[in-house]
Amino acid sequence: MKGQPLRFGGLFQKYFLVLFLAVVIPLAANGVSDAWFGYRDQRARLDQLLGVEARSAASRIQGFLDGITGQLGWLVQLPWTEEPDERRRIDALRLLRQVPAIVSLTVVDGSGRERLYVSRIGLNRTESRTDRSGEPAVVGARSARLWYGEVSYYRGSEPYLTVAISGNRSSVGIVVAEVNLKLIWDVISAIKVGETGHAFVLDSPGRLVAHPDISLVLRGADETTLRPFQAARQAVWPNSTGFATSRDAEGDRIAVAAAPISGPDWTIVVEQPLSEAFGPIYAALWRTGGLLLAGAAFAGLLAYALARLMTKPIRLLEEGTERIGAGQFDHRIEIRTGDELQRLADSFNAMAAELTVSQERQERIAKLRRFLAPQVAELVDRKGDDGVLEGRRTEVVAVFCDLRGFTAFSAKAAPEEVMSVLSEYYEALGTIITKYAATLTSFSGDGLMVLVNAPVPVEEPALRAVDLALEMQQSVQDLIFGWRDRGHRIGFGVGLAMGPATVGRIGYESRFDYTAIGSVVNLAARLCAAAADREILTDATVAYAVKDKRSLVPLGSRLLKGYDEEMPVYGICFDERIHAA
Amino acid sequence: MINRRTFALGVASACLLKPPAVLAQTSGRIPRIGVLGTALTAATQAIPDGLRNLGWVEGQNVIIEWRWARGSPELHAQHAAEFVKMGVDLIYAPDSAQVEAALSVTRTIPIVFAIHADPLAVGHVASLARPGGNVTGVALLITEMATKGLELLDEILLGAKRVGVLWNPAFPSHLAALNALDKAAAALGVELHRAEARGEDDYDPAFASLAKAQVSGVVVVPSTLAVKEGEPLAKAALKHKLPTIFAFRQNAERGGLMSYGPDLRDALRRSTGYIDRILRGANPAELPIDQAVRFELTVNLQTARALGLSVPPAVLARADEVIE
Repeated sequence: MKGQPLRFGGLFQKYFLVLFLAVVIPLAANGVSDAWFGYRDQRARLDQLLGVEARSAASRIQGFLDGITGQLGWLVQLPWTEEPDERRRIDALRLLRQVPAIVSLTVVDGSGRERLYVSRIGLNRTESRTDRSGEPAVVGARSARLWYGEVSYYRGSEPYLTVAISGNRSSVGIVVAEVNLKLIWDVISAIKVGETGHAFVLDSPGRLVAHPDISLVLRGADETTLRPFQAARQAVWPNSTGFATSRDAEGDRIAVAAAPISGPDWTIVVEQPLSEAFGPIYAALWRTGGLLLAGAAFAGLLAYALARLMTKPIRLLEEGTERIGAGQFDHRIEIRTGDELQRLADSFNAMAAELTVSQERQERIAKLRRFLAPQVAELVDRKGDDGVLEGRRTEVVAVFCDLRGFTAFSAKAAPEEVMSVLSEYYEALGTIITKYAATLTSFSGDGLMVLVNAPVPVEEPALRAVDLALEMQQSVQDLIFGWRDRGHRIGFGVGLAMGPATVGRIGYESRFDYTAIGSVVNLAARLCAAAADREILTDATVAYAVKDKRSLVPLGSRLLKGYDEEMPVYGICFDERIHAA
Repeated sequence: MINRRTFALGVASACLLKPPAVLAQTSGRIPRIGVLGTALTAATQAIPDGLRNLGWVEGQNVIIEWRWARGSPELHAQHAAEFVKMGVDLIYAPDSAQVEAALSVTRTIPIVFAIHADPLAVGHVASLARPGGNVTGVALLITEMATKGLELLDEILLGAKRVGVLWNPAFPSHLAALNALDKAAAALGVELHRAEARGEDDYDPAFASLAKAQVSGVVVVPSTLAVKEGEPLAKAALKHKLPTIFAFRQNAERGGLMSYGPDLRDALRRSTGYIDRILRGANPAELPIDQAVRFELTVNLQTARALGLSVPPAVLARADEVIE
């Protein structure tokens, strides 16, 4: 198959396309639906995940605040009297040590007077008795046990939260704490959402309360800094159905979810870069895409291979029929697929074999037709026996004939005339030879040699030969008449003899002639040479064979060339047809 | 979708693990930091350590030039000028004296401080939230520490009438501290006596003068020099039998009686965060000042015993560290 050009004809393309589509379409449909559903599932999962993260983060922040407010409760358990409470002062100082986030504590008694102020960085005050009952913290704590104030910025930078707690009775007083929210940093920076996500806290006006990058918090209420965070909260908070997408400070897309921190009315927002959040989705899509491509490539290869496989027998058939059609009958189509195509190939091979046989047969017939009359040739071949041309010894009648005065004529006449005469002569004689199914063994110039009873035996060969000679003479004499009109003086004589001879083909390679060898042939030739115009001379054997059936005239004995003795010669009576003058 | 994802991934990973070499790549060379140090102390090791945690390894992707001046402002200014000529990318001037010296020679090279007392009051920055210039860093509220120190001393001494203040004129923030101390003393009903000390040789005479003024205790206005020379300081205080309160734990460890103030090493470490961000391209004008929030009380009972002083249990209960 090496030298064969790849022929991607119609059938190959059809097969290829069908096979390829048969694989790729289900693959693609599966992949796409997979990806779609996977995407939806992943989004739902992300939803859940981010929601959980948000709530968990919210609870941690709330825990931080509760840790502080829980400790504050210690200071509002015992009632105040008018006396200074040294123990409570020490308790307040110890509380400062316990809760690093508290910057200062103001302890107020039942009537709202400040009794104690301890600060981490400012001077403490004891028993200042300033009336603080109008302050929002005190008022707030009186109505609700736990009161959260608004976030304010100490020196424009550090976020402070005021928290106030009251006890179970008014006499125990109220404690107001200033909390430095910078210390939320430990909590917020520990909140990790996935690998690259984090959380931040906004208070209700939208200011940043906590962020893993503390410098963003310390910028205070800086509009430009706050914008992306507020936008993120905006995207998700009002609807609060699952997660939303927004852009972070660098402009990258993020997935955000939020949860409330109910105490101080803050919102914690968890964000995760979309690249990570959708990472599994993208990975799945890539995977599907990759699989699809791989599948398509594989389908292509498979389709190609299968289509080639399937069209190969057909190609072999196509090629084989071309070859056989071109005449290469020995070419055989090799198909071993065990199916209809193999059977088709087998019948093509059988056909080719038959064609070979037929061709051989034609050749044999052609061979025979050289010598035999066509019908004989047919007969012989139908019998399938071309051994008929084999050499053997048999009784034959040899008939020789030629034109008298032809040589002289041919010297005088124009070549076209000579050829014309000859062609009329042969045409006439040929018809007769065919009619009598005799074998024309050779001819040269104007002389013919005809055999009867070889290669195919006939009934009454002598009689047939005599009738043959008679008709030949008649026919040619008619022609002579015409030629005379044209001014040619030509005669025709026939000689025939019967006897045993060796018959067969002689020659070499592709030049074979069928002939008879024996004295009968010589005799016939001499008799022909001796025959004058209008004479048919035979020997004794023929005469004896036909004496009762045809009229003979004994012409005595003649000395013929090549024979020591004189031979009896007979003439066949030949009815002259009267030619109208 | 592909582009966005790749881009976002790239940005995310860049934010997470952008190698410090990015500065080297962008500017084509390794960044240099000039450090104006007082003296080599154990605390100073916090700087290279903190930088290493953030990915900057001295000698590999950052070069640090150390210059020690022992509190001499002239030397600081000289070194700062040298840095400017060298073309450093950042000057690290931990305390206010060093910032002052650096600011005198450059207004463009970023300056990072770590233990500045009060950059706003001294005028080195425009505001805490937005410094606005080339200076930023960690502020330690030295002024507040000094006043609280006075308050604590008052508490221990159970009603002192006279208290001494040891301060170093070389440090600009000490003046602000002195003002605040005057106000606090007035509120507490205490008389203040000042004594200057610029270095080791001045401590003994300063304490002697305070002892002569019959103060019950001394507040030492904090500085890194005071930390470095903590031992001679404590010795001088003990010699004159004066209870002294400092701001930094290291002083109490070296023999001072008490200290109340932020963690020095933590402040140095936090300041390396500023160095990291500036080397990565942040603008110092936009980096807010980080003020100290945690303050530790350290009490050295050995010194207390040597002074014949009994520390009230209430104070001991609040101490973060008690040296026995």
